[in-house]
Amino acid sequence: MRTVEFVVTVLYIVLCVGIGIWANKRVSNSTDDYWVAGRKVGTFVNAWALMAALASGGSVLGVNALGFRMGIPYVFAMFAGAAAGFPLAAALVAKPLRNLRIRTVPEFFKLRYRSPWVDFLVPLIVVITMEVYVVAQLKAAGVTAVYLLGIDYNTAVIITSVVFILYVSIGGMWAITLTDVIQGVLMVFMVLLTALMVFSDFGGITPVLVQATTANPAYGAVRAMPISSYLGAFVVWFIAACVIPHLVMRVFSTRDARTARLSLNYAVLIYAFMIVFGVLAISSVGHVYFADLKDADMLFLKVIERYLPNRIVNGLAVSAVMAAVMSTTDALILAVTSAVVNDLYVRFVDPAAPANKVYRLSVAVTWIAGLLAVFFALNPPKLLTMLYTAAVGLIGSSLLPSVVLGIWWKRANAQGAFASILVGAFLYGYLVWFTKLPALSHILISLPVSFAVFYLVSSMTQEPPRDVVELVARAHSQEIAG
Amino acid sequence: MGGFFRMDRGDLATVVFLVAYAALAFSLIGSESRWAGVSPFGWAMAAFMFLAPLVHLLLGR
Repeated sequence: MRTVEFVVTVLYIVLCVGIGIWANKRVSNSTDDYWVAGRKVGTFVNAWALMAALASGGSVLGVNALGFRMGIPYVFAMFAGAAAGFPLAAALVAKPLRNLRIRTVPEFFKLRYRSPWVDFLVPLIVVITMEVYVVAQLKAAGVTAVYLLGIDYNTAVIITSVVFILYVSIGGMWAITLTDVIQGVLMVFMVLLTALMVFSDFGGITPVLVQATTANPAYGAVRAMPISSYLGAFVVWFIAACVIPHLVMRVFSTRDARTARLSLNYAVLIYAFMIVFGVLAISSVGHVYFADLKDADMLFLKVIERYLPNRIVNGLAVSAVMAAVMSTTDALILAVTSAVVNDLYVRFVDPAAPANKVYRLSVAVTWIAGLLAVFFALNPPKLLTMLYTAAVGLIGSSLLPSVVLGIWWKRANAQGAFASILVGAFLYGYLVWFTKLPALSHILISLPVSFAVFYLVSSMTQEPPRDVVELVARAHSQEIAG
Repeated sequence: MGGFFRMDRGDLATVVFLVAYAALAFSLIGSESRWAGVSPFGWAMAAFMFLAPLVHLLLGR
C-alpha cells in the first residue's frame, strides 16, 4: 500500500462524510431539503455541482481512454453531445420544470399525465438505467485505487461505495450539492494541471497533436466507427440532460428558473475546458509515450504518474477520480431512491406517510440500491462506457418524447405517453440486444419511432384534462405555488 | 387545443442554432483535410462544446 497517497485519499473521504453529517441536521425533518436541498441552491454552487454530476468517472478516466482508442473526432462527438445537451435542456425544459415545483422526474409524469400505468413505469425505468450507470462508476473507482493506492479492486469498490452511500443516505441533496462543489473543483484542477504539464513539455497544443497524429494518423481521423455510430454517440448525450434524473434534479434544487438556466450553461463551460484540454493533452500524449497500453482506462493514471510524480499529488489524483465517481454516483443513487420512495412507495403504498418515515425509508433504500450496485460492480461487464451510454439511450428513447411534448404540446396525453414509453424502451432494448447495428446507433431508430408513436396515439385519443393544460401553460410563465 | 405553447424567442433561437450547428458539423464528417492532424469534424465538435452554452447565455433570457 502507498501510505502518503492513502492518507490524502482518507482525508478527502473524511471531509465528504463530515459534510454528510453536517447536512443531516438540515434534512431529517424536511423531504424538500432531502430531495432538492430546500430549493435554495444559487447559480455558482449549482453550476459546479451540475458539472461534477455530469463529469463522472467516465469523464476523467473514460474520456481519455475513449479518445486514445477511438480518436479525437469520436470522443468529441460524444462529449459535444453532452455539452450541447445542457443548453438544449435549459431552453426546452429547465424553466417549466422548475416552475412546476416538482422534486423528481417521475413527479412530472404524475402531474402531467395522471396515469397510474405511467406512474408505475417511469420509476422502474429510472431505477434500472441509473443502477447500470452506478455500476460503471464503481468500476472506475476500483481501477484507480488498485493502480494508485495498491489496494485490491474489491476493497476499493466497497470503501468507495460505503462512503458515498453514507453521506447520501444521511445528508440527501444538501450533502450531494456541497460535496459535488469540492469534487468538481478538485477534478477540474487535476485534469487541467496535467494538461498544462503536457503542453509545457511539448511546447504547446499543436506539437503534441502533430506528434500523436504522426505516430497514429487514425487518431485524428473519422475512421474508428461507422458514421451512424458517431451520430448516435452525439444524439444519446445531446438528449440526456433533458431526461436523466440525476441531472434534471439539480434543476429542481435551484433558487429560481433563472438560476437553473444560468447554472446549466456555466456548468457546460467548465466541463468543456476540462474535456477539450484534457483529451488534447492526455489522449494525445498516450500515442507518443504509451502507444502499447493494453487497458486504455489506465491512460490518465499513467500520464499523471509521468508528469506529476509527487506522492501527495498522486493522492490528489486518486481523490479526483474518486470525486468524479462519487459526485455522479451520489446523485444517481439519490435519483434511484427518490424513484422508489417518492414515486412508488408514497404514490402507491402509503400516500399519507409522514416526513420522518419517508426519510427513514429513503436511508434504507439508498443502502439497498448502493449495495446492489456494489454486487454487480464486483464482477463488472467489460464495455462499461458503452454500457452506461446504452443505459442513457434507453431512458432517452423512452422518456424524452413524453417530457418534451408534455411541456410544449397541449394535445399530449397519457395514452400517448404510455405507448411512447413502452415502444421506446422495448424497441431500444430489442435493437441493442438482438441486432448488430453499429454501437450507439440504435437511438437513431428508436427515438424517432418513440416520438411518432407519441404523436399518433395522442392525436387519436382523448384530449388531456383542461386543468392540466392550464397548469402547464402557467408553468411556462410563472412559478406554481406549492 | 391542438397547438403548441409559445417558446421564448431566445430559447427558440438557441434550439435552432444547436440543431443547425450539429447538422453543419456532421456535414464535415467526410472531409479528408487535417488541421494539426485532426479532421475538421473533430475541431467543429470541440468548438461546439464552448459555443453551445455561450450562444444560450447570449440569446436566452
